[in-house]
Amino acid sequence: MYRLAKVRWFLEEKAKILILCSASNQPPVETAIHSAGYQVITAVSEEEALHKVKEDVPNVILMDVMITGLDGITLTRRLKEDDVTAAVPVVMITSGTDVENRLKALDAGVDDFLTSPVEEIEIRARLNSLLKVNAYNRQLLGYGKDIENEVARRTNELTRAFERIKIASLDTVYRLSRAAEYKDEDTGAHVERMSHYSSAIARAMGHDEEFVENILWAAPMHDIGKIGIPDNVLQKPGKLDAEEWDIMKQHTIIGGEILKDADTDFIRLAQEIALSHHEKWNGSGYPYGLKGNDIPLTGRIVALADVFDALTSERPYKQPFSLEKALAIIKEDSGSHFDPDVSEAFFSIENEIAKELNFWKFMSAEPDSPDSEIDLSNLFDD
Amino acid sequence: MIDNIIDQAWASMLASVLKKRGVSRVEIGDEIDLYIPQSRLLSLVESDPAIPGLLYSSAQESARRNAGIIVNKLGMPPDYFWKFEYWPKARAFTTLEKIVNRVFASIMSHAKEGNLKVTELNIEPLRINVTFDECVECAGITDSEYALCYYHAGTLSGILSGLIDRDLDGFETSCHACGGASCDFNIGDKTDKFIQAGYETYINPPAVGADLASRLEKSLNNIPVRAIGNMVDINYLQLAMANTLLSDPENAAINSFEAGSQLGRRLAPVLADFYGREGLQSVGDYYFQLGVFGVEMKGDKSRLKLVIKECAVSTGAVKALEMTSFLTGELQSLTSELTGTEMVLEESRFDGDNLLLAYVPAG
Repeated sequence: MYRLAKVRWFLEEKAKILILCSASNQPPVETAIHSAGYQVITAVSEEEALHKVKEDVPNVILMDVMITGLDGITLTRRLKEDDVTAAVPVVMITSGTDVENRLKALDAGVDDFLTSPVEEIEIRARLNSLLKVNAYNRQLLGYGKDIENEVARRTNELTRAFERIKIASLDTVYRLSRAAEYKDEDTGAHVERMSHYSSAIARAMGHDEEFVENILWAAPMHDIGKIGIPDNVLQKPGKLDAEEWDIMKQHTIIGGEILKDADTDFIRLAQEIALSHHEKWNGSGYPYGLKGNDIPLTGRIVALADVFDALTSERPYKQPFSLEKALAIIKEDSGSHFDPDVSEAFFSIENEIAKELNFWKFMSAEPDSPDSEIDLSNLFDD
Repeated sequence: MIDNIIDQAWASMLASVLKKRGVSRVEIGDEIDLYIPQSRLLSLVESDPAIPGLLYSSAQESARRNAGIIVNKLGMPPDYFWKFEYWPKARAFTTLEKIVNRVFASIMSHAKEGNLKVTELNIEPLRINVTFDECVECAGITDSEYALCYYHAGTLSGILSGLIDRDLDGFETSCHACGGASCDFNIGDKTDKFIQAGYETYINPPAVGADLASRLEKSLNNIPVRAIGNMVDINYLQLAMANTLLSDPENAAINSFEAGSQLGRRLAPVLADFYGREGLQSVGDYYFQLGVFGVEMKGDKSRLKLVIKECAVSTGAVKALEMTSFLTGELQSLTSELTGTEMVLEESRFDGDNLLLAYVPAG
């Protein structure tokens, strides 16, 4: 019912007929179409016809090319190759005996022929029939578009729903990670900072945005295993003895256990990071003493980001190191503790990291404290 | 050119917050009465129904660009607001509120533009409600039928767009000028039908008008129009005026001159009455009292030459005659009305830090 209504609506519109013909041959055909109540658009060359068709797609194209020498066959081919005009019926006026050209025209996509000289009654009958074809074509095309739009909308909804579930589960794990940090350091901001340092390094190494995004969301879970470390060890004010240190090292294994057997990529990545972020490039790290490229790349990146943030942050037992001192330590440990390629990427964005460091200070400072007055003098440099 | 002026004004306001900016106007100081930017924006809005939309768009564009520059220079990680649309509501609100308050509210409050606060946030659909208390754009106006803080609607949606890197629009839901306790804005995605509808209605008011003559009397009589006082940083004036020119500087300068000229005609009797002084004396008194500039007048009405010092719209880094077009139009009418001779602007140029204007009888 709906489709029929649409077709009727198309037919009730004042249909537009584009006529391609020479100026001298125009009046009889044009007059016949006008008197039939259609809107006439004329073109005297192929290029003009193409231009006008693009401007305002007609319902039928009529080519009176027999006498004029206009190339209706090439024009038809171009019209039929274009998605916008492919469904518009093309009628060609030829002589009744020109079979060879009629065959070529059919091959190019011409939909119907009129034989010259054309009778008004024949034009009206043929146009009426072709306009119905055009109306159905347009309706079918619109229906296809409706389906395409609906599929796109549903896909978008599903993508958003999936993203929401992903972020919601991330948020839960993120909060757990912060809980582990709270136990350890009085602040949950460490995980936020080190995850942004990690993503910045990953980007500087040339990884794609998907990897960068995954590391951004997975890195906060690196110390989640600290939840399983007894408070008397985790919060001990002084130096840990050998036995306590062995217990402390277990946080990597515990983290790996908490995050194992996950279905989603980022949790699997988080498990990899939790297990490997204390490994060292020279094999002297823990828990497995992995060496060089045997350490997962994510673990190598997070190792540097984690240490850099620890160096530049205030802890109960130390003041934050200056940026220069922290950078010097990272440089010195490149090739022993840290992957030289990761270090190189880190130093390639040294200025960005320095700015980020200022940003974190600014955001965490109490209003009116010295850190709340961030140095923005470089704002006026460029 | 106008882009540069806007960026300079933003940078200068930020420098002021960071106490890195010295006073640029030694004699007058770097504040003006808020009536000045207010009367200019309102006169333009009254002059052409397209102005609210143009003003909004320009303010939004420049605020977004500068918010991006500022947070980048601040060192905010590029992925700080990554996937913001999926953030848990509480975390999104706390984070956005913190950075808006620490950076942008602080800039605006320091400039005495008003007190900005994020009051509510909804993630899907994204809707951010902000309150702008003590709003410089409408303070002291109480007789408007429609909300009229178009510059700030654009600025606030631009700041939030730049901050979270999304295309946002906004509209005013309550305005002090039409009886609201504060100016409140609802900001959300450009594609959100609710936001689009609210914006369209807001930006196309049937008519906007305010009694600027009685508003001027409040400023002349030092009647406080808001709790934080009647003064505002000159950078705000420069930003607002530059934004009125941004879309089409040449034509906007011509319209600005015309709007200034019309305002001048309305104000001349108020000034003559208030100062009770002969002829042009009240002009100099008026501009000096409201902190616009100091003026030395030479010649007589056959050729009146004004040496304008420390002009608020063209001081510091700003040296653009387009920026002075409203003022020169306003002065043309004031000189005409107060001398009783129809005057026209004959010359307008900078001479070092001073702005030189000359008016001669028409014809």
